[in-house]
Amino acid sequence: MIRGYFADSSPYVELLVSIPVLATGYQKAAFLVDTGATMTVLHPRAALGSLGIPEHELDARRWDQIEPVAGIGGLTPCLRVSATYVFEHDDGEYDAFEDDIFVAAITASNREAPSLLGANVLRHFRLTADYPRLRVTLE
Amino acid sequence: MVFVEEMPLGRNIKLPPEVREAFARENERMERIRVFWAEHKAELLERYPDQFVAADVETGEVVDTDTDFLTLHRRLTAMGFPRDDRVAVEFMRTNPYVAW
Repeated sequence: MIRGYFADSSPYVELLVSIPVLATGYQKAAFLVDTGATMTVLHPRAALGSLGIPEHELDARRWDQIEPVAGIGGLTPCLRVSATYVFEHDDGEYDAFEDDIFVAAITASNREAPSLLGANVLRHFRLTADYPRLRVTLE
Repeated sequence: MVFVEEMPLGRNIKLPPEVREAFARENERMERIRVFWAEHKAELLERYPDQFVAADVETGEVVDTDTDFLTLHRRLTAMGFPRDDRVAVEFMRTNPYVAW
């Protein structure tokens, strides 16, 4: 079982992420569990702060191929790249998956936004978000 | 940061001891940051409302603050703090975060 937590009344999960084209090694980052998101999205705060991706890598003008991703604040230019997601069980075992991640360019409106764990990763799990007891689990 | 030459993929996998130890160190780092904010956030919220605060989680010293995350991140990078490590950043929110 993978345990998450609630923050600001929303369910979060911490996991290790590797995005080889942008950063070295695996870094731990918190993702908002978003059942409404089709894809997992890395927003600038986690990209810069948790994963240590250099700021210039989040400048959409540098990207050869931009995917506009629709979100709450409108369309955000994103870079679609390959990632490895590693989840830690409470018994010491791990789940590891390769899938894409949308890395959002820095915009005026998304600097504070949490990164989103979307259906492309959540499809591997049975998700329980127990709001009364403030418990989040992935099985 | 954890380096793994070749990550085995799948469910319920067992990782080599050296990788598990490296991941455990990363967990400890995150836990230190969580504990720091749990102990200090109320005080820092009063001092720096609606600002991003960068603090040294070992000494408790506030390294820098700004209302804009990117501006603060640029200054921290210039000071030699490229990512959340010993220095962690948190937003001192006075109103609940609302998303829809």
